[in-house]
Amino acid sequence: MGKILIIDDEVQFRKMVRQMLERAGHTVVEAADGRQGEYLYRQQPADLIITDIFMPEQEGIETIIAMKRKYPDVKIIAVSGGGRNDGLRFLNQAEHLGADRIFEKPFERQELLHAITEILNP
Amino acid sequence: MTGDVSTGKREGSEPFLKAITVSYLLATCMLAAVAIGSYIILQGYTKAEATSAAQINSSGRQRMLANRVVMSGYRLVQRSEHAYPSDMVEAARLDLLAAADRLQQSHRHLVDGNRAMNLPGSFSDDIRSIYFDGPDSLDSQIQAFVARARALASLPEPEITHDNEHLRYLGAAVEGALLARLKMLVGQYQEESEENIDHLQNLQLGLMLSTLLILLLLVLLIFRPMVQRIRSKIKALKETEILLQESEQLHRLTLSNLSDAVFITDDKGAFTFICPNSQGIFGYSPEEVKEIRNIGPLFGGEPVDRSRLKDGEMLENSDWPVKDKEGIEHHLLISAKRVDIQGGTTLYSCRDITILKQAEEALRQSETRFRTIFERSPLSMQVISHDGRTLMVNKAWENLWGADLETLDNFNIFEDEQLRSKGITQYLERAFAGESVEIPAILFDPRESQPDLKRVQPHWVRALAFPMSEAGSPANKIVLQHEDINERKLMEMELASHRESLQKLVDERTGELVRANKKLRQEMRERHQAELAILDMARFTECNPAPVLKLGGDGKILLANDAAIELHDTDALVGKSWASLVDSAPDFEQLLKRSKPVQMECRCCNRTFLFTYQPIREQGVVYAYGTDITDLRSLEQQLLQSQKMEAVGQLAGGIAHDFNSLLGVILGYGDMMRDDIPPDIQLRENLEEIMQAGNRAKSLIRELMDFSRPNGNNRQQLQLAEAIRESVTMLRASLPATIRIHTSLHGGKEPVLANAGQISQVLMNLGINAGDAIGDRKGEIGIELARVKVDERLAAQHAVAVGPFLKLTVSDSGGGMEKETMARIFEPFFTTKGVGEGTGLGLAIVHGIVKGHSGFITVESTPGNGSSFHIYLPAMDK
Repeated sequence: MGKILIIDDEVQFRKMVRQMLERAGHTVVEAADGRQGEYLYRQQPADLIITDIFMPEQEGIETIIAMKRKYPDVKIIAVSGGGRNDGLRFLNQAEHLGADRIFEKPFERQELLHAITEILNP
Repeated sequence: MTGDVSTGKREGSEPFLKAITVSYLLATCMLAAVAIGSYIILQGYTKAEATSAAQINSSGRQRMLANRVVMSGYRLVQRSEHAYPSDMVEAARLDLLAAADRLQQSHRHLVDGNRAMNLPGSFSDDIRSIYFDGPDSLDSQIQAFVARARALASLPEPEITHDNEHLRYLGAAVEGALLARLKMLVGQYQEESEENIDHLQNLQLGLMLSTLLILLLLVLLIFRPMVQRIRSKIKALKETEILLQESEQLHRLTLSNLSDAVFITDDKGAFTFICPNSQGIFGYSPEEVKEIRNIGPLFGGEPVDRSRLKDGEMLENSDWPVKDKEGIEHHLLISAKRVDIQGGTTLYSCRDITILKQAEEALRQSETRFRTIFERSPLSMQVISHDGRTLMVNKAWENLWGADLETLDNFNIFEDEQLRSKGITQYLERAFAGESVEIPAILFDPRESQPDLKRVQPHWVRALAFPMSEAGSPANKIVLQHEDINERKLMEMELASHRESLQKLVDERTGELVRANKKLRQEMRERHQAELAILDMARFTECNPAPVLKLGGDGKILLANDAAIELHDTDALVGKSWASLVDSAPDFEQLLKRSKPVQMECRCCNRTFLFTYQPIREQGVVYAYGTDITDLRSLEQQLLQSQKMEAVGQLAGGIAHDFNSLLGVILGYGDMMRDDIPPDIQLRENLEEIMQAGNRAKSLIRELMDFSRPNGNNRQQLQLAEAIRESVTMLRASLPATIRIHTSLHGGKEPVLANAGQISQVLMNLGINAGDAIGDRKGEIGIELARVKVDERLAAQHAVAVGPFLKLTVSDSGGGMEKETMARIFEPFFTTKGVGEGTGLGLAIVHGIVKGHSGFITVESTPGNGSSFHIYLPAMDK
C-alpha cells in the first residue's frame, strides 16, 4: 500500500477518492490546488500523486511539470473532467509531460485502483 | 487684170534694173581696185627683188674688183721683179689703176645709188651703218684700198716688190676686213630683201582676203536679194500667165454660158460674130443665124438706131418683142455698143426679159394685193425704210395713233430716244437683217416721241417687225405691226399683282410648312431616340436575369420579362393573378394608395424571392422587382446552424468539466455504496437507478464533449471506402436483423483528408438514425459512395470550393420526414425520439464533423418514402 497525494479543487471529489483509496488500504493526503500539493509533497513526500488538470491557483499541467522537474521519480496520475474546451487534449499533454496514467472523470473505481497498484508495484 | 499686171511689171523693173546696174558697177569697181592693188604689189615685189639682186650683185662685184686689184698688184710686182719689159710693167700698172678705179666707181654706185642699175640711193639704218659707221666702215675701207692700189701703181719700178707694204695691205684687206665687211653687207641685203618680200606677200594675202570678203558681201547683200527678187518676179509672171489663161477661159465660159445672145455686126447689120447662145432665145442655131445673115430679119427690124452709136457709148432698147423660130414671142432687152473686133462694128447683146416682165407683172399685182391688205388690215401697220423714216401707214395705224403719215415727216424711228432707251432699236435692226422679230410689250408715251400725235396717254403696245424681203435676207424696208394691248396689259399687271400676293401667301404658307415640317422631323427624331432609349431600357429589363413584372391594380400581370417567364415556365403569364403564382403577395389596392415601395419575401417554384413592389399611382400599376434569395437564405440557415452549434459546443465544453467532476463524485460514491449495500434490498435497486442515471449523464457529457471538440484533429489521408466498410460491420451489429444493409462503395477511389474515427462516428450516427426511422419493420439501409463534381451553384450554396467530391449517401426505407422536421434536424438537442431515447446531438455532431472536413451535407426526404443523407467530402488528388 502506498501514500497518495490527491490534488483537486473539488472537495467532494477529493473526499470520494480519498475514501475509495483508503478503502483499498492507501494513505491519502489532500491538497486543493497545485501549489498546496507541491507544499504538502515537500513536507511529506508521497508515493503517488493524483492530480486534477483544471484548478484555480496552479493548474495540473504546471504542477506536473514542477513536480517532475523537482522530483523526477515522482509517480503521477492525471485526471480531468475534460470540458473547458478540449480538456482531453490537456490530459494527453499531461501524459506526454510525464504523467504515468490519465483518467477521464468519471472513471471506474476498479480501473483506478488497478492502475495505482500497477504504478506502485511495477 | 491684164493691164494691172503689165503696169506692175513696168513699175517694178526700173529700180530693179537700177539695182542691177549699181551692183554691176560696184562689182566692177571692186575688181578694178583689186587688180590695181595686185599690180602695185606685183611691181613692188619685182622692184624689191631687183633691188636686192642688184645690191647683192654690186657687193659681189666689189669683192671681185677688189680681188682683181690685188691680182693686178701681184702681176705688177711680178713683172717689176722679173724685169719684164717696161711696157708690160706699165701695162700692169695701168691695169692696176683701172681696177682700182672700177672698184671705186662700183662703190660709188652702190653708196650713191644708180637707178639704171636698180640701186637705190636710200638705205636702211643697218646698211648705212655698214657703209659709213666707224673706221672699219666699208666706205673707209674701199677708200683706203683704192688709195693703196693707186699708191702701189705709182711707185717706181724698183720699189715694187713682194714685200711692199701696199701690196701686203691689199692682200690682207682682201682676205680679212674688207671681205668680212662685204659679206656682212651681202647678208644684210639678203635679210632686208626677204623682209620686203614677206611684207609684200602679207599685203598680197590681205588684198586677196579683202577681195574675197567684198565679193562675199556683194553676193550676200546685193546679188542674193537680187536673185530672190528675180525668182519672185518669174513666179509672179507665171502666176499672171495662169491668171490670164484662167481669165480667158472664164471669158469663154461666160460667153458660152451667158443667157444673153451676143452678136457682132458690120455697119450694114450683117453678122460677123454669133455667140453660141443665141439659140436659147431665138431657137435658131448659130449656123441658122448665119444663114439669116442680117440682124433685120432676125429681130424683125432695127432695135437700135446704129447711126446714133458713138465710140464708147451704149444704146439700149428695154423692151423689143421678137418671135423665135417656134413663133413664140419674147421680150428682149437689147443693148448695142460700137466695137472694132471680129471684123464688126456693132456689138449687140440681147437678154430675154420675158420672165422678168412676167415677174414684174406679178410683182405689181402682189404689190396691189399687199397694199390692199396693208390698207385694210385691222392691225396698225407702218412701213419703215432702212434710214428710219416711215414710208407708209395704214388706216388702222391712223386710227390707233390719231395721226397720218405727214405727222411723221420729222420722225425717225432710229433716233427716237424713248424707243432707243427701251431697246427697241436692236429689234428693228434684226428685222432689217431679215429676221421676223416680236418686240416685247412696252409702255409707250406718244407725246414724248411725237408731240403731234393726238393720243396723249401712255399705253402698252406690242409690235411685230418683219422684213419686206425673202425670209432670212436683209431688207430695205420693214413692216412694223402694232397691237394695242393696254387693257390686256393693265389686266395682266393686276393679275400679276394678284399672283404676286398669292405667291407671297404661298411662300409664307410654305415657310410655315417647312418650319412645321422641320419641327415635326425634330420631334420625330427625338421620339425615335426616345423609342430607342425605351427599347434600350426594355432590353435592359429583358436582359435582367432577375424577374421583373408590371402588375395592374387588381394584381394581374401586365408585363413580365424573360426571367419571370422562365421562372414559371410558361409564356402565358400576362393576365394571370400574381397572388395565384406565389405563396404571398401584397394587397395591390392598398399598395397603390401609398407611393412607398414594399418588400415581401415569397416562395415560388421551390425558390425564395425577395420582391420589391414599387407602386406607380399615376398609372395605377405596380412594378415588381424580384431577387432570388434562395441561396442567401440557405447560407443564412447554415450560418445560423453553425453559430448555434458553436454556441452549444462552447456551452458543452464549459460545463463538461464540472459535470464530469460531479458525475465522478456521484458514480464514485455509488460504486462504493454497492460494496456496502446487499443486492436484495430496495436500497440497492434505488442505488442502481442512480448509477444508471449517472452513467447516462456520463454518456451525454461524452457526446457533448465530442460535439465541442475541434474537428481538425488527427486527420489523415484516408480511403473512405475502407473506413466505411469497417464501420458498416459495427453498424451491422448495432441494428436489428430485420434491416438489411446494402452497400455500394466502388464509386470513389480518391482519398480524402479525414479523421477515421469521426468518419466512423458519422456513419454510425446516420446508420443508427436510419435504423430508428425504419423501426421494427423490415427495411433497408443503403450506403453508397460516388465521386461527383460540385458545380459553382452547389458550391456557392454550401460555401465550399468547386471541384471533385466524394459523396457518401446513407438512405433508408423509413417513414421519411416532413419539411418542418427536415429544416431542424441538424439543430443540437432537436429530436423526434422519445425522452431518454435520443440526445438530439447525433445529426448535429454529424453536421459538425462534415463541416469540419470542409464538406457539406444535404438531405432528401418525403414523408412515407424514406430519407437520404448525402455527405460531400472534398476528394484529394490521387
